[in-house]
Order: sequence, then structure tokens, then C-alpha cells
Amino acid sequence: MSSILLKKVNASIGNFDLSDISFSVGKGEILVIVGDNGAGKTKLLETIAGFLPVKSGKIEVFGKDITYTPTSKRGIGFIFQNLALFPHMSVRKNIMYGLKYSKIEGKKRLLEEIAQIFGVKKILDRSPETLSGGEKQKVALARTLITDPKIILFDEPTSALSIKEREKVGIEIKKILKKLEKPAIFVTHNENEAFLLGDRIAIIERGKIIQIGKGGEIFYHPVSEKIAKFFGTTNVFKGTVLKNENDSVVLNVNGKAVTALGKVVEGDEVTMFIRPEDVVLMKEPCKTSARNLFQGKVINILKKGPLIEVKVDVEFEITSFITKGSLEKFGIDMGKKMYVEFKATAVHLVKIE
Amino acid sequence: MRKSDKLTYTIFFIISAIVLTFISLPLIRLFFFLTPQNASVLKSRSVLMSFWNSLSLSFITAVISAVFGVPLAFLMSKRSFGKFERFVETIVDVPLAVPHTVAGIALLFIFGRRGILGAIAYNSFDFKITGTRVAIVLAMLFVSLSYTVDSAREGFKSVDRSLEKAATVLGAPLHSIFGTIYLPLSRSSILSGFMLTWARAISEFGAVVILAYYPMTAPVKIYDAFTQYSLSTSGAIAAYLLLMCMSIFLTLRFAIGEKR
Repeated sequence: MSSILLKKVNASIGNFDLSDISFSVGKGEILVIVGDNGAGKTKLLETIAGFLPVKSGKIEVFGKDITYTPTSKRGIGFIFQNLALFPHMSVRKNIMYGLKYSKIEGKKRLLEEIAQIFGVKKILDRSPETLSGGEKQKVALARTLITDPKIILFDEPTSALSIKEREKVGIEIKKILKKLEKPAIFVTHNENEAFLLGDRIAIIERGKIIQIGKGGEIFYHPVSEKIAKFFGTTNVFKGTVLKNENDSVVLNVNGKAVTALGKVVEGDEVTMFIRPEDVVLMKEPCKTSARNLFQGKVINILKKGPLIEVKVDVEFEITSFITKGSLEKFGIDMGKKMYVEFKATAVHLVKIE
Repeated sequence: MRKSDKLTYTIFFIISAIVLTFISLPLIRLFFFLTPQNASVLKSRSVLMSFWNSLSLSFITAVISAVFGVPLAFLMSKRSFGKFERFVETIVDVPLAVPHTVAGIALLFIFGRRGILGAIAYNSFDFKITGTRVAIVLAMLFVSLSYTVDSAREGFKSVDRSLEKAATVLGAPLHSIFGTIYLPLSRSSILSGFMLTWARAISEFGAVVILAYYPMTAPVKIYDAFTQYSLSTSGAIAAYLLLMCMSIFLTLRFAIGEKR
């Protein structure tokens, strides 16, 4: 049984629509929903929590239909973007708040336990405004978990943190969720956070889930150019299928023959994706299993953090990620002739309908 | 700083000084009436009674305003009136724009002996509302309730909505959220609304004098002394009323400011 199940959920908020949202989250699984600002991430969470009404469809939590259950009775935890700690209450009162409305026994002991797990014992009597960003996260999570929700929804709670702190807090959140075996839906617009936290990732765009799957699946097999580009620079080309022999495909891309694997037929128009880290640059061609080998001129070199993006024109412009070491070793420079190589298995094809 | 900027500041400071002087000068002049020989007005039972009436009845007014105004303000802050929102806002604020004698006359048509509610009270309970402390409170309420509602509404509005949502997912019912989140976080707004209402009620003359000349409140007593005795007698009573109001409100203002 899944912890939460959405079946064709439709909702309208002003002139924004969530359409036909269907997915499930397994027991103890973390699903990360990624999307740009305004894609409907928060609206989706608020619909699941019951702050926004469902127009049609069904939401089930551990098999129980909660589509029309009032928010306070859904047994769902919610971590808000601004964390929503009660500013006029101490950390202790914040954490204890939900216990007043639950029938859980041994409340004092529970507080001790939770304080222990989250390492917030020393700050119990402080006021939220005196806490650091990371401490606030812990308090918000402790306040939610103490009521033992069946599933927890996170609405970009780490967005106010620095990149470094965000990663640290993200790992801690994941650790705690896994330890307590709590399923969660975590919303973010940060792809790194998505990979870090998610057992699976769903991509939302204009109120629709457009792809859902394991991180690697979406990263290497995006269903659209938009998703591919969501994870940063990548190679996207259009081509025509020339022939297909036992799913070994030859494509025409700007007059060059590219070999790939896929279930497409002759004459099909396809979009092909190749991750830049799968593209190898060489000074001289060498015998490898890769069947795609092209010669071309370096037309752009762009330093991006630890990696360097090198763009080579081989009738189509292909980008490769290389390290600083390789750049120096091969003496790669603008206008220089280089060989480009990638495996047929590195090419992901999507048929254009 | 540029020369022209300096000039702008100078001119604005001069204008500000005029405003401040305009407000404080008459009040300061009035304090000169607080002389030992003028203290004798406080020996008059009717003067003391009028002070007591003003203080106690305006306080009762402020309490009633809070009890009735805060729930209304809460609904308004949550936009619960839907398309009637503007209409409700207008009704709440209308007393601020109505001349107070007009308000008094209007109230008379409702609470007077032949008024809609006044007649019921008179015929059923043999109770004539006008000329009683009830009438004074009604008059004070009408002209000052808006301050409580407006101030509390702004207070409720400034409470972050996510706090209510957080309390809701933690299982709290609305009445608990009102009591544990909204009320404490809007406390200073509600208190300042309470003070404004109290102050406005103490100062009310127009509506009160039409609904109840007797029992006299301090402003009515001052007017009475002004028309029947002398300027110096009314000035002395006025000075003591001013002293009393100032000390109460400065103390309260200080107390609330401290807790903010």
C-alpha cells in the first residue's frame, strides 16, 4: 500500500489549474517535486493538505480517502517555506503546540525524545527569533513530527538558507525521515536538492506532472527538452531516423550519421539528448567501442565552477564537460581541431509526435 | 548635503514646529488654570460626579467595543464577508464621518421614548433610555466603536497567514487558533484600539448631550459651566479633565509601548 495516493486530482485556484495530478508515494519514500516558480508546487501541497479544495479526483492516505477531510483531521504534517514558527512562543511551546490537540499519551516523555533526536534540548526555552536558520528548521520539523503525522509535506523550507547550509540541512532532514520511516513530499526549485533528497523525482510544469521517476531516469532519459534543460546545460538535437536494425538506430543529424539505441522506425523525427559528461574530447581518434566519432573545431570554452564547458562544431554544435586538467593536457583552445566521441548508449531518443 | 536639500529640511522643520505649537499651546495654556484656588471646583459634587461618569462610562464603552468589535474585526480581516466586504467596511467607518449631533439625533429616533427600541423598553419594562447612563454609553459607543474595529482588524491582518495554516495542520480548531495565535499576536493593536475608543468616548459631547444632558459627563458639565457661570470656572474644570485624561493615556501608552 502506498502512503499517499493521488488519483486524477483537479483543482482551480483563481485562474490557475492543477490538472490530472496522479502519483503515489511509497512507505518511507521521499518524493521530490521540482518545478520553476509558478509551476504549481505550493498549490499542489496546499491541495493535498486541504487548504485548497479539490474539484475532482481523489486523495488517499494509507488507503483512507481524505479528499474532503478537514485539514486539521488529515494527519498530514506541513513544513512551510517560512517555517511558520509561532514568534510569541518559546521553542518548547512551539514543539508542544500540536500535542494539545492530539490524544497521544506520555507527552512530556515525547518532548524529551524529540528534543533528543533533533538536538534541540539546549534551546527549548529560547524564542524562535533568536535561532539560526538551521535551528529553526529543526524546531519546525520537531513540532511537526511530535504529532506523528502519516506523511510530511515540505514547501521549500530550505530556500532561505545558504547553499552550503542548505545541503547540510537537506541531508539531516533525509536522515531523520529515513530513521523514523516517514514518507514525505518535498517541493523545491533546486535540482541539486532534488537529487540529494529524492528517492524519486517528479517534474511539475503549469500545474501538470510531466515526468516522474528515479533521479537518474529523469536526468538521463528526460521526456522533453524542457526537462533536459532543467538540469543545466545539455545537448539536444533534432534528427531523422535513417534505419533501425534490432533497435540499433542510425540517425541523420545535420548531415552526419549518429548511432543510437531506441525503438523508433525509419522516417521518424526524433529529439536526441546527450549529457555533456558523456561526450569525450580527444586529440587523436582511438579505437573504442563508441561508434560515434566526429571531428570538429572548438568554438567556445566556458569555465563553470569545477567543470569547463567546451563546445565543438561537428556540423552540429556539441558540448562536452571536461576538467581543468584535461583542458591543459590536451591544450584545448579556441579554433583547435578536436575529436568528439560518445557511445550509442549515451544517446537518449524521444520521438516527436 | 546639498544646499537646496538643507533649505527643504529647514522649511519642513518650521512647518512642523507650527503644527506642534498649534496643538500644544492651547493645552499648555489650560494647565495654568491648575492653581490652588481653582482646586475648589473639585469640591463640587456635580463636578466630581461628571468626572466619574465620563471615566467609568467611557471605560465601559471601550470594553463593550472590544467584546463586540474584535469578532467583527476578525471576520473582516479574513475577508469573510465576500462581496459585501466594502459595504461592511463602509458601515463600520461611517460614524467617523457623521457629525456627532447628527449621530445623536439619529440615535434618538431609535432609543428615544418613541424610537423603535426605546418604545419597546419604555412600554415593556417601563424604562426610559434617554437621560440615563445607558444612553450615554450608547452615544459613546456609536461614535467610537469604529476605532476598536479598525485597529483590531489591522492587527489581525498583519498576522502571517502561514501561522494559522501551521496551527491548522497541527490539529488546532479555529477557536484555539484565535485564542493562541491571533489574539496574542494582535494584542498591541487591540489595546491601542481600546485606548483610542476610550479616549474618543471620554471626549464625546455632541451625541451624548442630545441623548442625555443629565446625568452629566465632564464635557457636558464644562459646557454647562461655560454657558451658566464663567469662562474661568469652565476653564478650571476643563484643566482638571485634561490633567486626568493625559495622565491615564500617557501611562497606558507607556505601558503598551514597553510591552511591544
